[in-house]
Amino acid sequence: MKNNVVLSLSLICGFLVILGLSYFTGNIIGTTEAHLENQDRGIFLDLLRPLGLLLFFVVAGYGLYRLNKSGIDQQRGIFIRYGALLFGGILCSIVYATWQIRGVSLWLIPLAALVAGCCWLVFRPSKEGEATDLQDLLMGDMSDPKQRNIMIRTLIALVPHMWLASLVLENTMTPVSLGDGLVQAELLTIAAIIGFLVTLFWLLYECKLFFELDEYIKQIYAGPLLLGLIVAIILLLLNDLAVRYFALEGVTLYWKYMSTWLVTGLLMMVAAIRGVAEEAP
Amino acid sequence: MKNQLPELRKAHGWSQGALAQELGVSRQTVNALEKGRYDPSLPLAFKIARLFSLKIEDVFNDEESD
Repeated sequence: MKNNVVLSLSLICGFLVILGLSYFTGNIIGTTEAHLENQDRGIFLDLLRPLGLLLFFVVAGYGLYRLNKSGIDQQRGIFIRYGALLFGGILCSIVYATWQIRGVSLWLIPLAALVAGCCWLVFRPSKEGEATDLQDLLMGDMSDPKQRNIMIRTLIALVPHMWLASLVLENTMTPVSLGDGLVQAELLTIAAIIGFLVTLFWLLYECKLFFELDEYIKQIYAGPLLLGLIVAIILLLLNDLAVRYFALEGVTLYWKYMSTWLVTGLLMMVAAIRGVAEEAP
Repeated sequence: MKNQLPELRKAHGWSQGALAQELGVSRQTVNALEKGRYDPSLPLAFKIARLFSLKIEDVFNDEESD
């Protein structure tokens, strides 16, 4: 199997783990607990999720093992570190999600910080100033002030956005909803919606800045961004089907929103891999 | 397309990051150019040649014409 295919597959599996965990923890710990308590899901579904997660771990682990053996890069062992990062991030997410009753997706923040920090430490250029191919696998170059600032600002915007998204999209920020009369609680609702939209546009603006860094980055990420949009729409449609099929009443608008971001991120990473792992003529 | 970018860069004692800064592009772009994974646009190719005070064909080599 070609190296780029293996690498793509392993990352896809890694991301599926993250998606699965987000969903898993979201349903177990999140606000959907009440829904689950009222359901008789049967032993099949109870087994399906942990088995699915186990499968993802095994496949992702195998992909990383194969990559380490494949010699795609001379710095052997780097895949092990990358794998450790991936799994470390996931473990962090579990701990964080267990900790935070409502912070189902906030684990993205420590995960992003972990990846960004280690990206800079582990994949830094050699003494001659030559970057490894693997350095380009993770989006963004922390040694470039322009890119570093974009990433830091994105991280800063992400914190309130995730929090506000959970409040707004699950409609649980206040005991009232719009149209219940002009009370203080309603003003808070409006403030949360405005905050959500402002941070959303801020994030999109940072994406635009990254996209416009130069012609190569534009070429690499243009397709995936469009594809991400299409996939997000398909995902929203499939999500409703999945809700009906598995009787998972707990799938919220918030989860759908989060999955849109995650899928887009995944596609961008796969694009970066394709750009990096392609063999030079 | 092959190119002399790594040799030229090293001769000037630049890192990929430093060259990227000179060219006003990302380090990823320089890396992709050096590895031959990406062919630059004409404006960028001119910029690179001008930076090293060379002609474009001295920096980039179209293998098919050989």
